[in-house]
Amino acid sequence: MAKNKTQHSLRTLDIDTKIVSNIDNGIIVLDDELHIHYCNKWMRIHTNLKEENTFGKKIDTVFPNIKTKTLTRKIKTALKIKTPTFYSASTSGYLIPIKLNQIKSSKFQYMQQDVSIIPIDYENNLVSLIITDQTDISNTNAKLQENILKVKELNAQLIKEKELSELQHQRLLSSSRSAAMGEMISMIAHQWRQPLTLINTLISSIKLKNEMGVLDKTTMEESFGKIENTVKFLSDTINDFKDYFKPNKTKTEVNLDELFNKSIFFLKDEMLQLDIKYVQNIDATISITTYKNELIQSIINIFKNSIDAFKEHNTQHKVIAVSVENKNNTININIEDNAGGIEAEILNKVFDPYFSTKNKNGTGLGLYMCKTIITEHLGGDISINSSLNGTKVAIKLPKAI
Amino acid sequence: MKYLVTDDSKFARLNLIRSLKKLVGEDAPIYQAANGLEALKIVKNESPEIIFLDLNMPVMDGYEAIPKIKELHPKIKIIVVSADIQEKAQAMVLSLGADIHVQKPINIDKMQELIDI
Amino acid sequence: MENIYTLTEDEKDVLQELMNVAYGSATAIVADMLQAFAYLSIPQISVMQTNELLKTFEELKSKSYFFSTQGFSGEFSGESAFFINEESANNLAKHLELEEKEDLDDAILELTNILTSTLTTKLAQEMETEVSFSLPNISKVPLEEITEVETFQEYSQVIVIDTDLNFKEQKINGKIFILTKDESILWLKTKLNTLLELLI
Repeated sequence: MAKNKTQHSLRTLDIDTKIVSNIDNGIIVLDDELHIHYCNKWMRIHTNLKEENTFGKKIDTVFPNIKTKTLTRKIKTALKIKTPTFYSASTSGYLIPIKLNQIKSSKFQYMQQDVSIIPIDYENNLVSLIITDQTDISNTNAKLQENILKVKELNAQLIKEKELSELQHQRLLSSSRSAAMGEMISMIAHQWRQPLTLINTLISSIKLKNEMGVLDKTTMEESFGKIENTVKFLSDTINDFKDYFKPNKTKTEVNLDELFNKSIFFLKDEMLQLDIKYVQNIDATISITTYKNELIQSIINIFKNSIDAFKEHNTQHKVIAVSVENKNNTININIEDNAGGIEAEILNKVFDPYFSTKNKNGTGLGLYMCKTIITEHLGGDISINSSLNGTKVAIKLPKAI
Repeated sequence: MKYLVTDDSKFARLNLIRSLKKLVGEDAPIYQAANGLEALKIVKNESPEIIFLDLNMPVMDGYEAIPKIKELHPKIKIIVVSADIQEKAQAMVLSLGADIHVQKPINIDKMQELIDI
Repeated sequence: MENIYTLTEDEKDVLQELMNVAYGSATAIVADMLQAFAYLSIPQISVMQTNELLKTFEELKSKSYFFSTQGFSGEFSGESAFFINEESANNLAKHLELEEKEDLDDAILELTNILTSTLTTKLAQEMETEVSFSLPNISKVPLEEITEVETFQEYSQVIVIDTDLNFKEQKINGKIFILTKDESILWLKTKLNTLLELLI
């Protein structure tokens, strides 16, 4: 019995020794004054430690890079608290300098190491240093840190670019507003031309009759009446424009038939001049809740585009037709003309800012602004289709935003 | 012989008392206090001969209590029982008038030593 | 649903006392290492959800923190977290006469290691069990990012043993949190009750 036990312990000892010799860790035994008592095969292979000339020597004479104050402190602490202390690769890099002679690239010249300092003999104040190669992990960590930094930078850049593009968008919108204002003013001017001419004519006529002495009371009163009406018309026009130009702060219920009537009112004269027939086919009961003025501005813009197209393309029977489909929660507005259509290559650019086919006066902001208004403020959608004949603009809007 | 055990932890007191009772018997008069102030009251009223005193307590800690106890009862033996084993703490405690400083928890042998002195 | 992860007053009393003793030993060793005197404070023990724990960090006023952790395993398993603010860390470096920045990180790791090892080992001893420790690690975390730190997301219920490390003269202060998972809390309760029963 006893013999077997002895054999068993001898075998175990043999295995322990074999493990210590073949383990992929460095093992050094030191005392609390840093004298080397033992080192394993791994240590001898990786460093120039040879049995003959190292035992008894202090470790800092063999490896001068070692900070003795720190090591001594850690060893003494381990012996005192009777549990291990450590060096971590992430904070200390390495304890024993072992140069890396690898072909694959590494951030580090020397092997990165985790070191555990384990108390093994309290009588003789001995500790065992277990050294583990952490170079791979350290490299991975370093790459990870680099990537994290890159991602942070890219993020910051993206945020900046987003802010910039938001800024640009706002600038474009305000340019659009200014351009639209310009258009409105020219529409007012256009609207006013004839009435002003009329007033002038009436006044000249009165003056002439007066000078000639043939001005009678009736003619005068008639003329004054006409002048008053015309002045009222001029004033109303201004008010109308003012009203329709202000952006709405609140949504209101809008009857579509009336809305289109109002919109077309501003362009009636021009359309008459160009001999454009206008067809409006809208169920008088359809109403939606939306921002009225903004919708009017968009519609006017679309009409103007058709009118301008007719100026370039002299179709025989010019028509602009408007129809509205009533769906469950939405309405579909279709504005169609026969002004010759838009070429395919140009069609998908029409909503881009600064894109214009008009020569002098086109600022190109009209449809861009329309799209922005319809999608961002009115919660809807706008699309455009074209054939050789003409163009159709379809606007989808929710019945209530 | 009367004893006083002072500690804000009930567990600590009971633990100490258990060891004490094993040596002096179940019937020995052992008083308890949860802080320095309570301890002073008991010292005044009961005049225990031996007091076990913790340092870290609310209301009045050990450091403050020691001189006050000595004032009331100069012959009393003060045994400071504390988790704080720093040398400076030990020195402070002895200079204030305590007789001895020991680390918690006290085992039976140590207890025997302390009582015999 | 009744929360089984609470400690009764008696259990808290025992744990507090055990921690007290363990902490006294740990601080003495740290004081020795620093050649300074530590003012011992009473550990505060509470059981709480992790999100509640994070609120306690809001009391920590400094902008950025050194935050080191060390895991321990065994029947009693968990992790310790040690917080030290930049000012205290710099004072620590000055006091130890450290020359390089890397040495400071190392010193903080060592501090964590000593505190945790001693605390947890002593505690384990009282409970007649053994624990083993993993390598401590350290990160410098701005206060805003603390909630993202992974350690805290692993634990649903934690026993928080909140102690201050107070070297007044050297102006080095820190806080230790010992965090244990749900199962360990139950194990702990059993052990604490065993100790209580011995007194009856």
